[in-house]
Amino acid sequence: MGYKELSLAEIAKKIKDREVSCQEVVRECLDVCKAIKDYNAFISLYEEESMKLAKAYDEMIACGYVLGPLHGVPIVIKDNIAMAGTVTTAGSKLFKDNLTEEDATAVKKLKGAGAIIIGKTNMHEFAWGGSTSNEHYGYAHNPWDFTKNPSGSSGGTGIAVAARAAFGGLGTDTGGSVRLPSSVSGITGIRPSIGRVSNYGVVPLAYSLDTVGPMCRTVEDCAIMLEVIAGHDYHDKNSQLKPVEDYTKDLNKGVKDIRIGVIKDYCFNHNQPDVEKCYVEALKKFEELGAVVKEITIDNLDTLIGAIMVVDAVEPSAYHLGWLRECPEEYADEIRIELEAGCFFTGTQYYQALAYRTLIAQELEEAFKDVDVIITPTVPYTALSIENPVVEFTPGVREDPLHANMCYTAIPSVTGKPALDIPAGFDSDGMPIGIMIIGDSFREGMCFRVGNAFQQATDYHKKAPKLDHAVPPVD
Amino acid sequence: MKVYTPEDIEMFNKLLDLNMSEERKKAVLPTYQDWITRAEAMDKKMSQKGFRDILPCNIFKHGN
Repeated sequence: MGYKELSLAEIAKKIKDREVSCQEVVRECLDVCKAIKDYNAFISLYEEESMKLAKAYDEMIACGYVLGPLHGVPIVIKDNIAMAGTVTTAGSKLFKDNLTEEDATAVKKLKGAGAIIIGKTNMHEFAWGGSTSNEHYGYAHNPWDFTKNPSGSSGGTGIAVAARAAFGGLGTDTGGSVRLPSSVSGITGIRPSIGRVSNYGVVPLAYSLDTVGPMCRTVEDCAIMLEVIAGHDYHDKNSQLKPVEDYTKDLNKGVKDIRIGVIKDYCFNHNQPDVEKCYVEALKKFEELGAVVKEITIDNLDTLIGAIMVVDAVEPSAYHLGWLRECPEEYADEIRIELEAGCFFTGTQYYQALAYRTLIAQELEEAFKDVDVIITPTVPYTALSIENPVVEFTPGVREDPLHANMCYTAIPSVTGKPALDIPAGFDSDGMPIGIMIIGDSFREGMCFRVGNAFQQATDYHKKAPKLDHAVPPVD
Repeated sequence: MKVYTPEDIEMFNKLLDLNMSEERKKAVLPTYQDWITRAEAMDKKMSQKGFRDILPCNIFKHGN
């Protein structure tokens, strides 16, 4: 059977208890990485280095030394996150030779905890998109259906974790780029509060929205990883001094009397039917578990997409302006067009988008006086076709793609709140569906508590994709 | 809804020294039209009385 079906927490314990060697575990993961080559989950794989590290970490354990909670655990990271001595491409041609000499802070912390980073994953170019259809490193394929995309921009990490090629991974999330691929690949991922995890060493998309978040197969695993990577960093002026709590301590407290908010007139009647059904059933499950579900009102979501698009477009365009002038041909057409369009917003529109963020943040702060978490679908659709990525809720009726992508994920993005995606079911084609648990600022522990209660009562997060295009087949 | 033209794009091109070819200017127009329509709706809302006094916060005041 191997160890692939174990969670990160379980394999870390087996390694620590010397029931399995780091070398066995890393070897198994690397074999899966190679078997899923056609899915284009990876930009770089570090086979030789990982096996050397695994051997060294086995010797350390034999001497009684355990580096930390991730000792010997194979992890992957998105390729916009710097790791010393590796090329950090950000999924781009422009950075194809970008040899980074210093670890990103999040990577430093993972290494300090004993993680073995076995590869860097494919992504949408410069994280500026949501399909991981990368012109330079290959279009990525959804692990559940090869003809569909894994969403993005952290699509490669989503594939790798779902395929059991690693026990956890890092993605980055600006408008949804951890949560969207987590949802359509059937895994668990969290966008932390802005400032919770250092962005130092991460190629920015929109600096005021960017976060680094763990993507794993269970809530517990995400909690363990977040505790490792969270914390203030003097290198990142936007990181917060707030102490890092033990994110696993309240995991098993259940949801009795926990107040769950549902946004009135917003979360229903504008989803694919199977997504809506899963969402409604998830809310019923929480009520069965003792939670109280109540309606909340957020009045001004009508221009949410307009506001996030201004911020999400202006900031990358400002960052890339120099290259856009010098070498526009280095970008894929889709990305170059987005960067050009983002240049054309006015300063006053950017100011108003920031003011809008204050407005919505205030409305959410008000809502959190009456509820502990807010739950929405993560995204109103399941994975899209690579060839024809059109969103339809009713067959034959095209939806506005921007609104469909971000109508839910943009709420925590613009307000800086944490948001956890967890698997909540499957559509009639067997494609995963996720729900999103939004917490108040720096209340990741509450998100984990609610998410873990759901995972204790269901088994959607345990299902694995068939990986029809793995060679050799993965058991 | 305001409709933008290649001449509007040329104005931005000149302003920003992007040195865009005719092909690039034509390619960006549909995306810009989509985005600016949304931004203008947001602009209209935030310019209204009752919203004008809401100031951006550069540092989010986080809860306890």
